[in-house]
Amino acid sequence: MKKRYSLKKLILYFLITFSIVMPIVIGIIVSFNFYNENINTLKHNQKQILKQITIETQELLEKIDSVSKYISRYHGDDISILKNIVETNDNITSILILDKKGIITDFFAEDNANIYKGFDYSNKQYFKEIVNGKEFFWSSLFFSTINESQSLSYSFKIKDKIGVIFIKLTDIESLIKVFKNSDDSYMIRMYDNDGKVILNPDKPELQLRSVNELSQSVFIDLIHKVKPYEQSLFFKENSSARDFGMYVTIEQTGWSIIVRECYENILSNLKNIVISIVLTVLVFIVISIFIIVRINKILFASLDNLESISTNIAQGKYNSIINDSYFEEFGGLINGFKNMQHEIKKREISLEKSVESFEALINSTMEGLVLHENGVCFDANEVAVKLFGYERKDELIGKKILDFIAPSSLELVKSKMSVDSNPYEIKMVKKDGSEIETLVQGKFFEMNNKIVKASAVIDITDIKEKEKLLFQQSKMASMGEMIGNIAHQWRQPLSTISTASSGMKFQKEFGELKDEDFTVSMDAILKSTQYLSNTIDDFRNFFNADKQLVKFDVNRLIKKSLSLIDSSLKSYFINVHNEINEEVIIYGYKNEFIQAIMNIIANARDAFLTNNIKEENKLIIIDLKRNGSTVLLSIQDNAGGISEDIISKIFEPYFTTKHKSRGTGIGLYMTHQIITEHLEGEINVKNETFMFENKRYKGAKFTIKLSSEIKEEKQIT
Amino acid sequence: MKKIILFVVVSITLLLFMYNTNSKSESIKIGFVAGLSGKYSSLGTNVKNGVLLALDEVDYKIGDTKIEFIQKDDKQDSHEAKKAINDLINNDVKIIIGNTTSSMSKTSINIVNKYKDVLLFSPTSGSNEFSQKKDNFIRTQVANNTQRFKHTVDYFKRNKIKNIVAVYDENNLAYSKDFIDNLEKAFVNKKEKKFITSLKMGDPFKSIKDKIQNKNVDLIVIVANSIDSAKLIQYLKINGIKTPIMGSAWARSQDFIEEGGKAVEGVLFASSYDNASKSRKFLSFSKSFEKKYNMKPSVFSMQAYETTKIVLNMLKTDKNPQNLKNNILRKKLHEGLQGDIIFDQFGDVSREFYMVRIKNSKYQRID
Repeated sequence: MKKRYSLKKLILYFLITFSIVMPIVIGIIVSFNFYNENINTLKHNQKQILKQITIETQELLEKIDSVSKYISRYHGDDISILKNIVETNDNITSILILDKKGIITDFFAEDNANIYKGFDYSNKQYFKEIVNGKEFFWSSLFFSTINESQSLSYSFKIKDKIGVIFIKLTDIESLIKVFKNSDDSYMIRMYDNDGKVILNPDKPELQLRSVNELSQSVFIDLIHKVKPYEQSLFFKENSSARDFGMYVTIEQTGWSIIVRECYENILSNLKNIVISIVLTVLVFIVISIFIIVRINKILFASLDNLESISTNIAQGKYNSIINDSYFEEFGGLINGFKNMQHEIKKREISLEKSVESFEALINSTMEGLVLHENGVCFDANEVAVKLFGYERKDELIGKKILDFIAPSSLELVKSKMSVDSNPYEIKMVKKDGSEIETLVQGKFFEMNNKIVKASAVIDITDIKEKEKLLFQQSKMASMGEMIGNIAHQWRQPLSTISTASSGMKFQKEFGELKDEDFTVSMDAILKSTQYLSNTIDDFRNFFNADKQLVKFDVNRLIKKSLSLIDSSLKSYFINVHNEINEEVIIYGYKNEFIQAIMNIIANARDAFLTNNIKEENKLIIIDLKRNGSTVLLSIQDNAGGISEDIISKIFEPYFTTKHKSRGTGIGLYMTHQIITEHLEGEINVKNETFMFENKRYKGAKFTIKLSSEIKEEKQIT
Repeated sequence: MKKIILFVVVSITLLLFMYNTNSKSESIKIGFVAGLSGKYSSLGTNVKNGVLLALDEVDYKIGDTKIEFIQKDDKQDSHEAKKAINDLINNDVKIIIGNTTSSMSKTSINIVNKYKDVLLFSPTSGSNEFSQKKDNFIRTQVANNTQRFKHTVDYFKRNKIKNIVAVYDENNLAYSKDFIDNLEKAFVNKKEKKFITSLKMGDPFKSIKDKIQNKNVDLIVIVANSIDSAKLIQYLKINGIKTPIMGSAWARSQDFIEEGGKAVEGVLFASSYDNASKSRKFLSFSKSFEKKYNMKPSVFSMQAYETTKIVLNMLKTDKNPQNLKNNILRKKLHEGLQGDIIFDQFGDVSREFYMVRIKNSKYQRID
């Protein structure tokens, strides 16, 4: 089953989610933009500062270079030149002049820590580099033994001597102390080409200690990783705190100048803004949620009302009071519900009446109705309850349908259980075990998404009894007819016997009985008695029970029928023209067929009498036509026809136009039953005018339509 | 909905657990104190380089335990040394490598001895003052006792050195005076006479020169740092003093040669450190050191490296700093870069000494 969601929850969740997510997203975007802007501003500022420091450093290097050139030019001429330079230049702490062996020939130092002319400095790197061929050499940071402090040096060639200028970055140090971050830390750091700290105003001890930070994050994550003027994050020395900044390298010296700011400080500056944004967002969210909840409460109260209304209606509580809504839109909806409530109420009453009518209708039918699924009864009408001899419907429900079927009909019913069936006759069993004759019909239909079967049952026990009675009456009528016929048939031979025997008596009395005459008379009597005997056999065969479905020749049986009624017909001067001259085989019950034919012929005979036909040529014409397996047998008379107002009723039982002494009204009914029910054929009658031997006649024409195919065996009762 | 809430609760619990686990990860703090600035920084920097190399090799970890390395500068000043040690102790540091000079070590020992669980481990302090004491001090530098000078005095005897003048740095008396006294004692023990005089390095060079110049001196022993020693030797040389000079282990560094130039050629040292050692461990150490610092290691760097290695090795088996000294002494014999280091019951070591002379700006073993 598909999952169902609560509209209220969905709307509430959606609105709350929206009111939370949107401000958060906007807050994040604003914070992100603010962060980016801050970083870009920082980048711009750091770049500018770095450029300024670089320019200052370049100027210092150029100045040192100028000083070196000045010394080269004038040293030797002016004995106080070194002193003047050191004393007038804050960035120079001392100057050495070494001879080519590394011996100090001249020097001046701000502070002299036991340095004397003649000292051998041939092992100093600043000497060795020039001796080994360099024009000039910028040293990395080292501990100067001249003034006993950390120093940088610039050594250069002066003809056959070497000058060494000891440098202290006083000007640059002053300059970088100008640049401070908001956390009061200095922005600038400087490293020599070995990675030693040249300047770190925040930690001057690192400079004093010649701390090498080549293995620190500032080199690994910044100087050795990104390009100059590109920002990067890196850790502070031996710390988990991070700096954010950029660097530039001075080409001549290999010094790296770093501009940095504590990243946590940047974030902390941002933090205030972000906190403001977060607070604004939170306030907005709280207000939004409050408003949403309020609106939803009012909105959902209306929805709840609607839901309650619809639930009440669904539960059949049509009298519940429907309150009006705060909202115009819901007002319309509620009016709709009111109308709907009214309409449903009306329809339900109407439906109840319809159901009552329907139930009355169902219970008033002559048919018992049983509803069953998979062969098990789940509903039935009152007729069915009574039909099967029960007192309450509950007794039927749950029973198997086959339990109601008599054993003799079980196979037939089983064969028709799974299909729709046309009406057919079966025997069924009542509650008390007695059997009843029924006509049943079963049809499948869909009810509540289930395929169920409705079986209609009609108790035809009485009809069957009546039918038997009718057959009996028919037989009796036939017997009367036959006795008449026998009388007609016997009149002639009896007369012959009588004449022969009385003739012989007279001849004997008169002694004129000759042997020849005796023989002739006796033969005549013998022949007559033989004829009488045959006649009796014929009639006896006719009255025998006829239970066997047999193959018979229609022509032969028609002739047989005619022979049985022959005397009667002759006595009324009725000429029968049997125009059938071929063998036509069909399947059926011989005697019944004879009875049917005899009834039609007898009806024609009676019609001649009834209609008082004076016609000398009273005709009954029997003909037969074949069309494939269909056999069309017609029996036509010229008795003037049947009145049009009764022609449609002549096959109904007990319908007769004859005098009570002649007609019972069951002859043609039985004929119809035999043809339609037992032989599964058709019979109809119409008045027809026809030509026979150039004369026009009018009469009734019975047409019997039969099939020459083998029929399903049928139980005849 | 219930599933979402459950998921959120489980996630938060998991994150808190992980955070808690991470935040609880233990670390061992190792402190370092030395003279890292000024003219005494040469020794301090050499020692620091050795310590850092040893820590680098273990990536600042002992097993899963992180090492937190905290360094302080005593600036060769007692007040600064006290401050540095107290800072470290207040920072819950239990193992301190340093100080590098005996004077500073003396200050620090007085403080650490007040604590049961703080251990000072010096790679370079050689004062005999610290010997034969059950305290919170241990070292890999051989003490300046008469035994340690036996080889030196034998050399004097072989080379008929009888008249000796000593110059010592009065800023590190614990070492320098102790050095002079014990050397003299060992010398006297060999039935030689006492030193002619002992001069202070703080005196003007001219005064020192004059006092030496007027006497018949066979050897000048200078016990001072590398820079001061080199400067004095330069001064003496340019002023015509050609007397043989012997330096102390304190000065035995590359700075001495750089500062002294050709003036320090021929200067003698008694050293337990052989620059030309073919020991596999030493060669490997030298290679790593040169790669990291772009210079050759000094004896101080080597001893600092050895000291740190001993500390790290012992912490591998027992991370409790309180047990460190006992564990080191119990093991007694530890592998050094140029042979075994054997601790006595008081945490002093003994090493083999050689005579070394500077020739062509290099330290070269002469016996």
